[in-house]
Amino acid sequence: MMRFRLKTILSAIIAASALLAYAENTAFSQDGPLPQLMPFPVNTHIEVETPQPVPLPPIDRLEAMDAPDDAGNTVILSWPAPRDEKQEQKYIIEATSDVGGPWRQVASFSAMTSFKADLPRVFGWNAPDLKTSHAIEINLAPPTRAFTDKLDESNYKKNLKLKDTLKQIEDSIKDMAPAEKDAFADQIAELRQEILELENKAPVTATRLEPDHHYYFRVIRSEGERRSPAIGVGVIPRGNWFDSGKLNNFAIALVLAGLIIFYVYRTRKKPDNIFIRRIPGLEAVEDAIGRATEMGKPIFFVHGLADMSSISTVASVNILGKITERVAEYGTSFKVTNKDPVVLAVSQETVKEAYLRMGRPDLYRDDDVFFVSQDQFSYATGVEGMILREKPASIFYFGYYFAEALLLTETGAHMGAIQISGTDSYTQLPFFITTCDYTLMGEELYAASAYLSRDPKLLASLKAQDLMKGLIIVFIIVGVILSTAGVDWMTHIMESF
Amino acid sequence: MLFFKRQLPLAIAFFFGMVGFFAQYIPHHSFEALYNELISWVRLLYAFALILGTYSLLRLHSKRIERKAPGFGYSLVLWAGFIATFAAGMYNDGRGFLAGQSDSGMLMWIYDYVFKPAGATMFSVLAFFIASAAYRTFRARTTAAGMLLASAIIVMIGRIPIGDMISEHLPILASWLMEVPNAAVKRGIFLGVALGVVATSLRIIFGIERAYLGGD
Repeated sequence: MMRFRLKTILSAIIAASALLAYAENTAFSQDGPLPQLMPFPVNTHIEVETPQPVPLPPIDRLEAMDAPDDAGNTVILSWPAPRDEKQEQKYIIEATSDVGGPWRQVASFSAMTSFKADLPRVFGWNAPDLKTSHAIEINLAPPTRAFTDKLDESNYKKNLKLKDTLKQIEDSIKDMAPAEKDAFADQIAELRQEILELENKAPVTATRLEPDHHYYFRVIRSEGERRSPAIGVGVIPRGNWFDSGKLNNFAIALVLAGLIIFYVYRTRKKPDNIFIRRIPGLEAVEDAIGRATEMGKPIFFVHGLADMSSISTVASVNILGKITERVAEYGTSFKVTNKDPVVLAVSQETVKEAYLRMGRPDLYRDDDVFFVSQDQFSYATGVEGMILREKPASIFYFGYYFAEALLLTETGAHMGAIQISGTDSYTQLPFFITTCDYTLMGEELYAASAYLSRDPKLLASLKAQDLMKGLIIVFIIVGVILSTAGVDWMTHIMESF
Repeated sequence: MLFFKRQLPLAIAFFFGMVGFFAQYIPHHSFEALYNELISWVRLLYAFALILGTYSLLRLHSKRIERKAPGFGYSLVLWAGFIATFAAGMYNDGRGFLAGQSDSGMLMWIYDYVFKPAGATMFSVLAFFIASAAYRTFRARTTAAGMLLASAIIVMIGRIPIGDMISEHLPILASWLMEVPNAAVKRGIFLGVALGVVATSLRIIFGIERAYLGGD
């Protein structure tokens, strides 16, 4: 059954990769290789206005291309740097979705900056014009929904004010003659556009790039009052089905996944006595529970602040199940504090199942796994108060912590509790080491579940993880040697393809 | 029944795990839209879970009041605080609970003059806790503790103006300690953490790690 599942999973991954590669090739083959220039004539001079006084010479050979490896909201403009370029000059980039305008400024940068060399993933590392041609990435992605909500929240008042202003203007010009009203037309149009943009309801304009739409860009060179004639070019941004810049990352993930599946499969066929080094913090779990039992005092399990989407929280829930099994053997009072309501629900289920598994469902009480507060310091205060009042003999801290870490552990230390902590929060590790009896650092937190359960499958995955770590260390050492010797290809592979 | 307790959650974890995995490598806008949609489901889930959390908290404190457990006065304070804040939130400065949140009124007063100062007080207590924790740690009973003490003194003094007055080398030494040995250790921990995160995620996606479902 397991063999069938593993094969199915592997086949699914291979099939998915093949499909992705096909989709990617199809996408490229439809549009041809980059750049994708549109019918809008390249290098067309568009007179904006008569520059005063003497106009600067226009730029030459402007090219636009759809940016690779993106959602379809980015284009790249490039052109050779003019010979007479000066530091005090700058380039203004304007865009529109209609060849007739209106044009909106979408970017600007100082001359002598922003070259093709800044975009090695697009132009490579060895092209001859890397430092003599300008290139700029125009990314006008629409805000994601989560971001939009935040935007609405922070701009809520601004939006209300704009609407008030608009209403005031409209009321004040209600009785005016049409000619007088016209004087306010631009102001009203601008306000309406701003309101729509704040509400993320603005029509598709060059304020954001929608995939598969035509857009036109023009570049103007300026120096003080002097401006060059604008040079324009058209392009269609398209979404890509694979981010080739993450190919290195993808390969590493596949290798690690392959190693885990291989070792788990091998362990199932031939269970080895897999060695795992002693972790004192986890060895002490038994002592901590025994101590609390002997003293007749409760044991606390304090979750960190991260929610269920954090892997450190998942790891701490895994540990919670194993600790509860040990607690069930002794029948000691066990309390679990939660900062997150979803973690609360998962923890309640985990503790209940663990008691059930050990044949002690009678020990489980919903009130022993409880919610304290979603606010950081309210949570810390609540837990500290409980530690002071109930004087637990042992306290476990597992998960991701912030500034409250020291408040909690120092209080526990003052109460004389044996404290075992585990976190991948680098900044809080010193505080845990200082105040706790045992601390699981970083990856030990993730290994704890396997360590406590001794499940061969989990131990096998740890072996794969260690092998991967060894491979990465070899890469680092070889990379350092090559880079020191001036050979950069490996650095480029690690940075991006 | 086992299907709902085991197979279905594992299938859901596999599906959403794979979507999350591929979302890192597929930038296409249609996949991005799917991923954002799924993320928005999480927020819905949280809205319901918050009700569960509030219920858990209030029930716990109700029982403490009922039993007149030691310190039940704190539970009374919690209930009073909850009722006052909830009422202020519903009243919403006279706008009613269906309108958008008002930025003035009783709720904001509670937030500005009770909640925020209480949080700031707790945060400031941290300074005293650091002092007492540092005292315990810096008692140089072992070579490692001695080295820690010496490094801490160099870094602390090297980062304030008096450090430069004592010796111009002190700030350089403090920076070196932070940028070389400290950064090396930090990167080592990060490397282990990153691999641990990926391995744990893969264990969950492939159904090898099931403890979060209540164990095997």
